[in-house]
Amino acid sequence: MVKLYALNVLYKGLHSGVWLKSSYDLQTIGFFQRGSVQEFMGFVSKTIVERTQTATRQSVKEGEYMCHVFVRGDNLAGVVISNHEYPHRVAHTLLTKVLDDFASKVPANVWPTATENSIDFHDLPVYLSKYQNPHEADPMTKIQDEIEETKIILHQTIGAVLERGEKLDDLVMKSESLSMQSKAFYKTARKTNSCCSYVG
Amino acid sequence: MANLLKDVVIDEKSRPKQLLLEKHVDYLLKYGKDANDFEFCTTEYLRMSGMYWVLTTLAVAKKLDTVQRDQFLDFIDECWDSSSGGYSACPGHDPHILYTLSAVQIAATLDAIERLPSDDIVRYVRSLQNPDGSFAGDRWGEVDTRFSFCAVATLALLGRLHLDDNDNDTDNNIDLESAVRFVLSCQNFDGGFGSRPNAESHAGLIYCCVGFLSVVRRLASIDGDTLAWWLSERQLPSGGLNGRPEKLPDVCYSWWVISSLTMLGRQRWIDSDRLKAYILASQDVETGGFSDRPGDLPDPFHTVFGVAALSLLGEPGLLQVSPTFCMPQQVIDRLGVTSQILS
Amino acid sequence: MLQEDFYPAAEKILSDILHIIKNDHTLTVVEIIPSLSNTNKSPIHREERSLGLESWCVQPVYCHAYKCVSDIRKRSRKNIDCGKLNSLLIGVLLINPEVTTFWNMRKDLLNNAKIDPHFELRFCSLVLSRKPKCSDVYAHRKWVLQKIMKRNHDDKCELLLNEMALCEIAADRYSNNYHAWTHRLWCLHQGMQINQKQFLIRELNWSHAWIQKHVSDYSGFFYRQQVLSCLSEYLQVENDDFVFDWFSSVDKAFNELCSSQQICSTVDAPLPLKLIFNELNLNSQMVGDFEAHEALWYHRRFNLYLFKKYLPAAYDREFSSNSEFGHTREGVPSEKNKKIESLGAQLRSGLISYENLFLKQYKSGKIDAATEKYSSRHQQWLTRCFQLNTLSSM
Repeated sequence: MVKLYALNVLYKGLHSGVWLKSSYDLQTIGFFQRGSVQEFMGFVSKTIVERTQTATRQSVKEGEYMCHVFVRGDNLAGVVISNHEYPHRVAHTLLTKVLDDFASKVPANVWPTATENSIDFHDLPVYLSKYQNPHEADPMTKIQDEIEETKIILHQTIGAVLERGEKLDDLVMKSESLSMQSKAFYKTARKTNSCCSYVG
Repeated sequence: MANLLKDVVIDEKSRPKQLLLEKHVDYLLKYGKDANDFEFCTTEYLRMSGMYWVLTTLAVAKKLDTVQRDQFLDFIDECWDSSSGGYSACPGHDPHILYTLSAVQIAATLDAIERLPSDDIVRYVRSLQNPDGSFAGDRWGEVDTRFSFCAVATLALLGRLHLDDNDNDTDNNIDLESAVRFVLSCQNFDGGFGSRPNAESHAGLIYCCVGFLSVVRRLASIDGDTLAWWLSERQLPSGGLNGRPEKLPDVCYSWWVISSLTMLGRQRWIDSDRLKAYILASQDVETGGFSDRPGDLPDPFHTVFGVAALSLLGEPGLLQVSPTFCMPQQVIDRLGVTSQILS
Repeated sequence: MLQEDFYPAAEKILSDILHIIKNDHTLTVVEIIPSLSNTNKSPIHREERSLGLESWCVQPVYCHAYKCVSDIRKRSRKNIDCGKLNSLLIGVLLINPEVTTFWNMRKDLLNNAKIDPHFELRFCSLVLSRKPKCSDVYAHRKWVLQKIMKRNHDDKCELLLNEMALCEIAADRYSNNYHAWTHRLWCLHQGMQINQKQFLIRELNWSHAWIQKHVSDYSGFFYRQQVLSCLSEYLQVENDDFVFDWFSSVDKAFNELCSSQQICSTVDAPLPLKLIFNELNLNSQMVGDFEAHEALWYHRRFNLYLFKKYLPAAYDREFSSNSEFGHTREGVPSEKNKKIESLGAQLRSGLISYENLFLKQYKSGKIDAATEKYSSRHQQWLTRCFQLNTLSSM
């Protein structure tokens, strides 16, 4: 399915990422998993922003999800989490627009020390819902011109984004932002092995 | 920027490049021995097929001497349902054509066909045929092309499939013409076959339908080029084969595609070196056994199809496998059974 | 935990689950909640429309229920407590719906009126919320539906529409969900026996929205192909021109194709071609929007195949050589058939130009490797399997 799950804005600080605003659309996820999925998406968003160089775009595969990240020259950063079918170039156009909009409404001097509650910017859910249909959101031809596709770095696994010696499994287990419940969900999801139908 | 293809990335350095046959034999001989209660109870419903997968792998690996023959044969006996004539997956469960074929395959591999109640099994298979030629899986009536394959393969292995109309025994036979018509009606414009008429093409079901036509020697009825074209497009950059468009590669689909192409005489339509590399990469170097994809957990199901596919691809040290029956060719020859393979 | 100690707890959990499913008609989802240990509280949670089971209880409850059912099967079948058997079977099948024999036991209970068939449909849909691709559930459901439809108590259309909604959810949960789509197709064929046109139009519209949101799910495209096939047959037989109102955009693109070949589209062109060409046009747009999707290229093949199938028939060489189809005994085509043949030839060459123009976009070095592969495969398929030989030389 063509689907957007999350749209987050962060500031890439010197030592860690700062949450500025987040929004999620997780209605398609089961009730008892929703909280954990949201926590995990937040965790991945921050992790990737912290490991993306300034003025860089990346698209990273993590299981059934794609994480698109854009850190601007001024370290304002956006993350879109979609599924594989969502066109990457549209995800990155969305990031450009959202960060422009955000920067025009929230002054840069507050970014490094802000908290989510202190920020007066409430358009993320609107963007998230409008861009669920990539075709209606923007005529494709126009989008293609706007972003030079070669500037987006594509990674097959999140491991490629992590620093040398880092493993996602370890980061998850060490994380203080993830609950025990979410860690248990993460472990179960990793273990599931696909099984196909068989013949006699 | 390219979209990410649905495929796997194989680590060139660490991937296993040799067939670890000893490990697989150990894996299968140990399999299920340390299963806990839950594992036992959740897999019992397909035990008969599980035994066929294990036995066939050991036979192809030339390790049949490691199994206790009577254990298998006693198990089959326990699963026989005398009133219908069919076999169930485990003692006490309902008979089904899937497990009836597995039971016959096990007996054939162990050279014990003469022990089977052939007349009753034939009666069971006949009882499942519908007026349109299709076969139900059991008395509850679900229809699938898988069951057409099971029906003719079972009869052929028992030496009870009569392809010649003039045969005196035709009263005992299934209605072959309508059975063929039904299978052919499941072919799609792309050359592939689905589970029923107008159902999507699927490599597993293509194997069943091509296998069916191979058993009844009617491969000439289909357009092999169009079908082989679709099958050859299943190969992904990793070398593995998927079963339908935009699905991940899987070792069991590697078998279903390569066996179908072999029956159609077009095995060379795919890159066999790359397929071989993919299958070998799906071995578990620690425990033994094959998984669907490199890095996943192994199981006997993917192990038999991994080994059988390697045999078709000419891997040394293995018995030759029949692409139609997925059993050692020498077993098929010993029974005097023939199937059609295009050259 | 020892099995015997667990006996009363398992019985309680099983009867609680049955109670909730029986009485709460808003329930649509069952989930397993990963949990680290037994907290000595009830492992059953009920929120929104979901029933959650803590993971620690799954194995012991399953083993308990499985063994109890196995014992019942060993004993004589008389004097069975059907209520208890129902809750045991539910416990097993909710966790592992592939135990075919246990579904058969439920069929026996249904045949003996010990379970209400509508309860059974709700139970099956809960199982599918966990295991959306389990073939045993669809087979069982179909059996139950046939049983209900035979009684003639219920509105068949409503049943089928409800069924199709269930397939949509299952197809959304698990992509390329073979059994869900096969089941939906079965429903469509049942529906067509009640009201052919209504079901076909409904599915045409529904699948249009679906494929745009699931661009890599070929099973969805394949289903739409079945709808298009049936609709084309319907249009040819009924000569019902409702498609003209249906897509205003059809006309424009199709008229362009026709006018390029000096064909009067409203008078001469067969109705199904209009429908199929619209689909081809939609596909051209989607191939541009969503790059490198094999499903889209495969769907294109089908459109071309169907277009060729509905080209005016006299053009077909097999027909031309057959004297019964519009040729005089001397083998000379009649005037009328000459006209049809030439219309077919014109439409065919219009299609070839259209296809060439389309493929040109995907030839240059500007596109990604996967799209380049699909486009070159498409070109080869056209010549090899589709026998549009003219293409390769153009």
